[in-house]
Amino acid sequence: MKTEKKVKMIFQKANEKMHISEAEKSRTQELLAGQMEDYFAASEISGNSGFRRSKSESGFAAYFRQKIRILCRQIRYMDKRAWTGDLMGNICFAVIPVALRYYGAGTEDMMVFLMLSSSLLGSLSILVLSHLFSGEMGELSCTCYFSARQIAAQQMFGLGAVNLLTLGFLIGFIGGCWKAEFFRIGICTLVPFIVTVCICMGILQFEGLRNRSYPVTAAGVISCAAFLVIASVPPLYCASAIIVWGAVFAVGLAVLVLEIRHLFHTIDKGEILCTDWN
Amino acid sequence: MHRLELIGVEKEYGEKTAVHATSLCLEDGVYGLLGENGAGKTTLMRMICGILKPTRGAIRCDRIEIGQMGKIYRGMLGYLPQEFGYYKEFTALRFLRYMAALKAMPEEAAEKRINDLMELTGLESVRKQKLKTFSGGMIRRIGIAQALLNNPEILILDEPTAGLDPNERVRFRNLISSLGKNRIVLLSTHIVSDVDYIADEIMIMKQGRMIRRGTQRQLSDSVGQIVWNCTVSEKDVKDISERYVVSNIKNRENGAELRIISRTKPMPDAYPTDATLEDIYLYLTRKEEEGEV
Repeated sequence: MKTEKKVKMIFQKANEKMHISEAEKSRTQELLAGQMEDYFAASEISGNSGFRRSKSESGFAAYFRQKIRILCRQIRYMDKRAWTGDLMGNICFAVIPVALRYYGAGTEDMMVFLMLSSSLLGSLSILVLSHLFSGEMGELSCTCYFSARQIAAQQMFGLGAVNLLTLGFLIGFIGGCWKAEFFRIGICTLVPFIVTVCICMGILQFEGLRNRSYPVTAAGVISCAAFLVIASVPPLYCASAIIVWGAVFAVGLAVLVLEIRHLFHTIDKGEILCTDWN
Repeated sequence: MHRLELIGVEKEYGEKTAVHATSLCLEDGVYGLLGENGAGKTTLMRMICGILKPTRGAIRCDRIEIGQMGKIYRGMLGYLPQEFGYYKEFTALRFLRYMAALKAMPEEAAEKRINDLMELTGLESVRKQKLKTFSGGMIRRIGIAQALLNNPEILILDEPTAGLDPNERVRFRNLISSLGKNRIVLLSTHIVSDVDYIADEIMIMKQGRMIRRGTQRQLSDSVGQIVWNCTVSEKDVKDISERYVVSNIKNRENGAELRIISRTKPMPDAYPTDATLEDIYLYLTRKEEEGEV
């Protein structure tokens, strides 16, 4: 270890003494990129036609359209059971407040519902994400067009977007119908979501736990139970306690960012998909 | 034609080194990777596919690091994992369409290719059956089909013949042999006969190290005279088997004919015979405590 550090330092010092012209560097990079494009365009055997842009398409918009086309085809044929479960969960939670309003539920009842549902949605989305690492197609998928990191990022983005839309709807609907402060119910909804996601995402960091669904499920259940208890004590989320909730939200967000970074780092190493070292 | 270079590639998992520093250069042709369980074959193949990042060293394709090439490299790749993951509820057709979508193949080209591969792998009649109804051999065949979907220039097959019956194995060997002309094919196996006839070069791994590589002729020359035939009485067979690596025992009326792998002549009446690839593999991967070999 010490020798490695020493060697690294020697190289770093040498690099500092060497002046690299940024202009020359950019020119070489462009040349290499152009050569690679030409090389693969000329390849007779290459089945890369799906990877190459046609000559008429260029620019970011075309690049983005191509990516969307590829994604849509993948979604068309992929196994949608886990995602269907997640979407059904989101729809149910979006519809329940309508029924609760009909049955005359009060503001406090809705706060309990909001905290419980946001916690449940958080654990459900991590459960769906964990399927990526459960081995069925994980190893094979990341040798295809999108890398493992890109696939994980797409899933996180999709799940996050669906959850946040649902939670946004719930906050807007409940805030509007029950005349509650949007900021207060927003914070009291997002904190259980962020905290539960952090706890469940934390489980995914451990090699022995991420390949099975019950640790993530158990973590989700425990988190939901904790927020159910908190929700049943109104003084804990009164207006004066909002600063505390805000601080918890900020810390939760920071922890989540760190966890996602660590997860991506583990994904890049590849060990997350290959736990049977041979 | 591509050139795949592994330069000092090493993989560590904590305290354990799965693959020790390995340097290789692969060009068009069929390469057989032989080794027992735990030798590091799968880890090496995963690193070549870009699934695992090496702890040290670099893997380059045409002098560009595969990590930098990204989807360009993955577009050239066809991979069949040892533990082949699939969705049991998918039909064969849907699975191949899904794989084609994952490989970003244009739809029309994908359909044509799927039809061709179904016919090639003998799965045309079961295209609409669910994968959960498939036998082990059929699953392997669909795995081979998905690896060939994008007409890859680098084909990595990890234990591709596991579960195939002898007829299927022969068919597979002929297929791989024909594919090796214009692409790099690296296949790992326990079964020596899979690579015996078709591999242009054979690599033998043991405990994470590449202990020998070369053509069969080169491997044979490197080990020298190691195989001896002799006839012994049946009561001596057990004792001899404990002292030497015996690759074959044939019971005869007048005793047992043994094929012994040993650096030195095991007994006065033993006569030398040519080593097969299996003999060479047994010799090179013998355990240290297996006495005189």
